[in-house]
Amino acid sequence: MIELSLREVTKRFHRGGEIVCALDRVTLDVPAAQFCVVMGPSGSGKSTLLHLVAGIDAPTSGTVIVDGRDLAAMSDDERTLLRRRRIGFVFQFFNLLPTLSALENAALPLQLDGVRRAEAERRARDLLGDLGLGDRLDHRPHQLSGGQMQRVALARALVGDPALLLADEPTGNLDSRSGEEVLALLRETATVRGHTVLMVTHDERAASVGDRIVHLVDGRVGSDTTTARAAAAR
Amino acid sequence: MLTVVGVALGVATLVAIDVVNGSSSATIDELVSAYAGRATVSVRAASGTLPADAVATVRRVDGVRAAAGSIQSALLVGEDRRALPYLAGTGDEAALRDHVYERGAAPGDGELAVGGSAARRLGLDVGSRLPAIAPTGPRELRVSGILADTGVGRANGGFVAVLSFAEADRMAQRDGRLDAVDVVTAGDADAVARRIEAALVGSTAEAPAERGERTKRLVASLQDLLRILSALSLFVGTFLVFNTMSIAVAQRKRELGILRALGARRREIVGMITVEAAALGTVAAIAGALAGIAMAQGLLAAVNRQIRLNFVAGLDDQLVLPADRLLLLVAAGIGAAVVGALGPATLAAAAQPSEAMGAPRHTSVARPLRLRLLVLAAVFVALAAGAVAVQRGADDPAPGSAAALALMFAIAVAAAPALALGVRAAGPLADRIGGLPARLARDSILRATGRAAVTAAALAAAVTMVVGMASFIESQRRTIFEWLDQAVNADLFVSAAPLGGNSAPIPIDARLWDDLKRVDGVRDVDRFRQVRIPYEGSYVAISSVDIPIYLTRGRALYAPGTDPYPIERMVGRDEVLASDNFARKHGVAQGSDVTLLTPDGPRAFRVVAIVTDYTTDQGLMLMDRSTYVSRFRDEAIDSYAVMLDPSADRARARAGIERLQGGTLFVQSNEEFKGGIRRIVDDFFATTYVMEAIALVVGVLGVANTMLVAVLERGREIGVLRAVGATRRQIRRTILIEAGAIGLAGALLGLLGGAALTVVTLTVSESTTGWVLPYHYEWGSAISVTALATVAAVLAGWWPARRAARVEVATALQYE
Repeated sequence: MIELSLREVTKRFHRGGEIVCALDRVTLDVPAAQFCVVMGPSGSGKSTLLHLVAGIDAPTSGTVIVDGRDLAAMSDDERTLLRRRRIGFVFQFFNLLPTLSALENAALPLQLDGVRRAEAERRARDLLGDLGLGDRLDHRPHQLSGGQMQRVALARALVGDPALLLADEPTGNLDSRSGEEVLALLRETATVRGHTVLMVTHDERAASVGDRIVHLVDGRVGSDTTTARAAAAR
Repeated sequence: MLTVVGVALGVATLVAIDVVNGSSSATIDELVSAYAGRATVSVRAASGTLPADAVATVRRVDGVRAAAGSIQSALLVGEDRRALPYLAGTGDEAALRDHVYERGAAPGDGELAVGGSAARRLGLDVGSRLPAIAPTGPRELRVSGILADTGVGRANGGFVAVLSFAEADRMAQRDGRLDAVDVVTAGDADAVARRIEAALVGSTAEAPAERGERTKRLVASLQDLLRILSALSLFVGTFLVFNTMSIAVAQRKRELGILRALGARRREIVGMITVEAAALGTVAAIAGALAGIAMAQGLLAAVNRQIRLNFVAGLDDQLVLPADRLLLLVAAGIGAAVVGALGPATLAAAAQPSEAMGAPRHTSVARPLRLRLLVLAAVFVALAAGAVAVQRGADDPAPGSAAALALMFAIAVAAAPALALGVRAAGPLADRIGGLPARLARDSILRATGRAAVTAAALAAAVTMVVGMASFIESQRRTIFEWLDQAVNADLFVSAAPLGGNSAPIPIDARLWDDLKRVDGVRDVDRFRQVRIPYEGSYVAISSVDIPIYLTRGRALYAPGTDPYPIERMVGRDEVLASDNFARKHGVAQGSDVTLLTPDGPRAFRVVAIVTDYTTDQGLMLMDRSTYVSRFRDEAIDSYAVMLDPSADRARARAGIERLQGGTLFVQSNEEFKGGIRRIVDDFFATTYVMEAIALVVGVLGVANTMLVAVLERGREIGVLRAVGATRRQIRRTILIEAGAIGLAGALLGLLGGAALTVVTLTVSESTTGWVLPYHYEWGSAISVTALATVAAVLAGWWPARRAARVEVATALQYE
């Protein structure tokens, strides 16, 4: 089953009177439960691709289909609900709300969705426990290490049991040990929980945990390869 | 844009009040100085008028070079029976005053000359005929000349007339008695003045400027009240500037960070922002000054109506715009903009460039309660309480103004801890009702308590003004109106001009008394006269009535603690009823003697009882007419109080009276009379509502500002919320709840402030007027202004909320 599909997607920006083409007729299919890594140098269009998939930006042309639905045909509210219920998002800088505890941050999408606070926090607590943060539930972000913050962010992304997990340079702001821990968790997410993962990175080592690596060069797909790990698994 | 609005509104209020106060004072000055001409000493009767031979007596005094006597009264002209002040001189008139005619000549019998403004507004020229009402009835006078705008012609801004002495003497039924003798002296004017007082018993002689000052002191308490209010408005306005500059800085945080990274020094950043604030402030202050002048026009009428009613007949509503004062006020506005910008500018400059350039950082949660701020607030409250205590013994409102200011500072300082406490206390309940948006709003306030507190404080200051003034006004209104209902009990009032109308009472024909009594249905007629005489450095009003008649229509309203006195015994005796405020101000007790300056010199009067009276804030003494006429040698009558037979046909009796004196009399029923007084009181207080409304608007704009800053600073967070699934509506709700919470907190704090401000204003009022008003907290205003401030705050949050909901998520999340 195809979880995510991009058809001839182009994105152009106006910048300083010039038109910059961030993505140029990109076509990409990601099947369910695949861990797909998008790599490329700065400005190659990887973040733009992620934003288009998340529905927080719209393509200039082409079609983006997530969870079987064409994003362009949906209203802003529908796209928001899709993000809330079917997509998890992990950022480079964690983006936790500073005033909320780890537990509250993790429970946020459920609470936004109207799940009762006790129920939302119960589910968040279980998940944080699984991610090794059972003793950090009441800590605020500034009381946590980088790796711990990224795990809270991961819990927030996973708490609604999404079909698709988007990760934007999730190890970019972590030391190598914490980075490896987070990558292992992402890997587990795809393998054990069966979530589809789309991760953007420019770190070769990070990319190696994926099933497939798509290289973007100047907004186009330069190469699309299966990783050794995936080949071995096959 | 909001900086401009904030400064402009602040300056507008300041300019409006200053122009109004300045205009009233300047017009009073002009009237006094134009009438006094070249006089170095001005002689007036301590009470009533000077004898006909006063000029001759004064001329004989050593050191007097020239002396001119004058009648200074007013005619009622135009359809609205507006008072046109006039002067009629005798003696060395040419040596004292310049009468310069633009056209025509000096008036003779049956004639008058008018100033330029009077000619224009009444449509007069040489040869025109002006129907006027004098105490002796309607007269038609021929205009003999138009005065040039100099000398007497510039008095009251040219809304003035000159009559021949003989004509004025006849019209005012003076028999040669004078209002003033103006004197040119040789040598020490003070010494000459003392010699004149000795030669002319019962007179006071002083420099014209002193007299102007004393007249202005009469209106000072009125002006002080307005000044306190306008200062409070500017106080609120400065908050807004602080807020808007915070926005400007927040919006350009990144740009400033880059400048710093490239080597701009801190003081250069501060300088840059300050210069920008000064530029905006200049535009705003000029716009504000123009708006203020427009506002002043409306306010002046209401303020002058009070002044005319109580103090200066015929005072004209002319706007005086001194360029130097206006420049000063514009400079004050620019200063406020710069001061308001300094805080945000310094903060911006203090930030590390990397921090300012927008790399994400983790803001710590709200700091623990700021005990120090609470202590400081307590200190300000203590200062305010101390100033109130000092005010109790003072007769000018300076300590009260200081108390009001200290109170505002207390509110400003207490706002942050109070907001934090309130938000924490209300948190669990708010979360239950408002869900996650309420929770996020609460966190946002707690995280930026300082900024939210500045806004809450501005709103609190505005609500304090509204509730404090409403309570003070209501305390006054209730007391005055209740007293009015008891004290005013004649059926009809007859006067030459509408009582409580556009002019101070001018005397009415004394011969009407008999005519009135003959009207069918009239049971009795009381003659009322009130003059103001100097007393212990200020003035006291002397009222006289026909006590036996007065007693048939009512009873004395004894002040608490006063023993009743058989008032009918006062007839023909040197006995007075003293108003409670006079007794309090001058420490006079029942049974003691007060010495009043009469035309025959100082004379002792026995205070037989203290009565409740709200006629004048100077204090009043009531005596029988026979005593008044014989001791003060003044037979003039201001108005008649008519009692009808219970069985009489009221409409017919009234019509009968209205036919007298060619139908020119002004007749008011009891209800109309009281209604007129009520209207004037309410009109005056209405002027304060304008300022309160401005403060409230400025306060609410502050909320819009604060929420905008909050939205700008939290763009990234809002982006994250949207990315993890918050709908636009949820974002909007978060912002609106935050705005409403700040509004509500400010309003609640303001309710406390209002209660305290009421104590301050009542104390000022008690010590300057001697009236003890019962404390009345105006709950109606309190509740409605709280609702208004909260709803307005939510509305003010609408635009920032919209902006937040429309945040471009992808842009907000960008950090590379």
